[in-house]
Amino acid sequence: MGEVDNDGPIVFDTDFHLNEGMEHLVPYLVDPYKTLYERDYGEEYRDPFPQAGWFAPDRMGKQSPRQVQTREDVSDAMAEFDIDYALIQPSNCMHLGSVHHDEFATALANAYNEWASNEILDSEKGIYGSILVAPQRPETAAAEIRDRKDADEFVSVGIPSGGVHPPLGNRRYHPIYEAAEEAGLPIVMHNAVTTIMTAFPQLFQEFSRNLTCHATLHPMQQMVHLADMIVQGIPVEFPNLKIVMQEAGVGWIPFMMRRLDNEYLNHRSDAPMLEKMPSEYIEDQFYFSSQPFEAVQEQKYVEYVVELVGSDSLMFATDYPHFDFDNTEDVMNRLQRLPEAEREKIAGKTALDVFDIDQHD
Amino acid sequence: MTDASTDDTERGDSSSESTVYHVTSVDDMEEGDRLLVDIDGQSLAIFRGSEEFYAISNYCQHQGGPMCKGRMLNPLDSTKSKDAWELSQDSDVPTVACPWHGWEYELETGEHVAPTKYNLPTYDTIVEDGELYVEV
Repeated sequence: MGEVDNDGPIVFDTDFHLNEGMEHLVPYLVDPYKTLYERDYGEEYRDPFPQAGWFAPDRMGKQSPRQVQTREDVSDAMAEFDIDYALIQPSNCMHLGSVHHDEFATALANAYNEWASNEILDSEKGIYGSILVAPQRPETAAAEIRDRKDADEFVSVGIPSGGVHPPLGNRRYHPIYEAAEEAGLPIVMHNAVTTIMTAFPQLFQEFSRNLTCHATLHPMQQMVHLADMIVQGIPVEFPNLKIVMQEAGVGWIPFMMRRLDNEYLNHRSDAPMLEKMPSEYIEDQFYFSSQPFEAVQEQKYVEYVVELVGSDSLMFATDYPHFDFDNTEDVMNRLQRLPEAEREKIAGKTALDVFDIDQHD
Repeated sequence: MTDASTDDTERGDSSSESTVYHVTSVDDMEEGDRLLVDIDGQSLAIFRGSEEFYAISNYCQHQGGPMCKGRMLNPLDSTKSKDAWELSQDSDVPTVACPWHGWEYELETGEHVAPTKYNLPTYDTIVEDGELYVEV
């Protein structure tokens, strides 16, 4: 266990990363992959993970994070940030789901686990890890889980969820889940952004059911468009333009306002033209129709979301006659506890204003 | 961290609201150098820019990252061309970026380069007879 601060609560950091390089993994690769890899690349250890080659000004020569590549590095950081326990995750190996050679992907997962087990993890110091598995070969992944399930240092099964194809609900992954359940280990899923080049967004046929598709795609698509329109400066160039987003529910709106602000403070150079924070552009120029108003039975949720989005931005909608339409009376009942002025805005006045319609007599 | 010494008596310009502290000799810092000083338990990061000295709070407004270890930069900007916002680096405003997450502040004003309320406290620096002072 790490340095426990007796004055505060126990701190368990459930996502702490290593900066593993191929120089760490190659010594633990099984043959023939080790021999082949070294034969072709020699000491250069070319990265086998697909690279998007993205351009990120605010990550270039600006931040100075340390590399975490040894057990001592982990312990030092745990002490610096008052962490008692840590669940260690890889970095490069988070792209495992995008590795094109399935058997090599399983060998990489195995090598990572060997390296982590031998050189990084230490249950006595509170340094725990996930059994990394390559989702490309579920049966091999299950064997990897069974081989390591009794090791004290592994407390979960890690699935690099980015680039996984098809999505993780597919039956082909059942061997992984069976092995994890049998071992009593939770599944830990972690994405890697650049894996979108190989498997995101999924195409329609990869969504096994309408529910999966409908529940995720509406807000996901609006999130992408909302972020892209702001980062590309649309509201700066068209300051009088009003933009209405429909059919995605409401809870994602305050989430995205805060997520965009948070990211913008770190990465302003991707959108230096902004004169206000992203959330302010959203408040000033974006409008959202309320349907399907999720959790409409939860009075507190409804009130809180309305408060966070604001009655000047939120507009009632039924979506009638689509299958998931909202009933006017039901939604209005849920808004009853709001101040009358706010309720009237959401019900109709904001829409009259947005669409520039004089209220009829 | 260096303990700065109170120098108000010598300089004779302290007031009830601020005190002048001696930091170091000007010659001890070259352009790009930074110094972490403790003033009455307050941690300040002192930077030497190309033309002047800057003093800011050492703790980033985001999550308390050590500003004294940040890189000195100039903020990137964007210029509207016919069909795109082009990234440009014309600014000569000195900034410092937090080494943890990259929050970037103007050294002179402490303002975050994004239009936000999260600005960093700054302090006046004074150079006199080859000595550097900070007014807190």
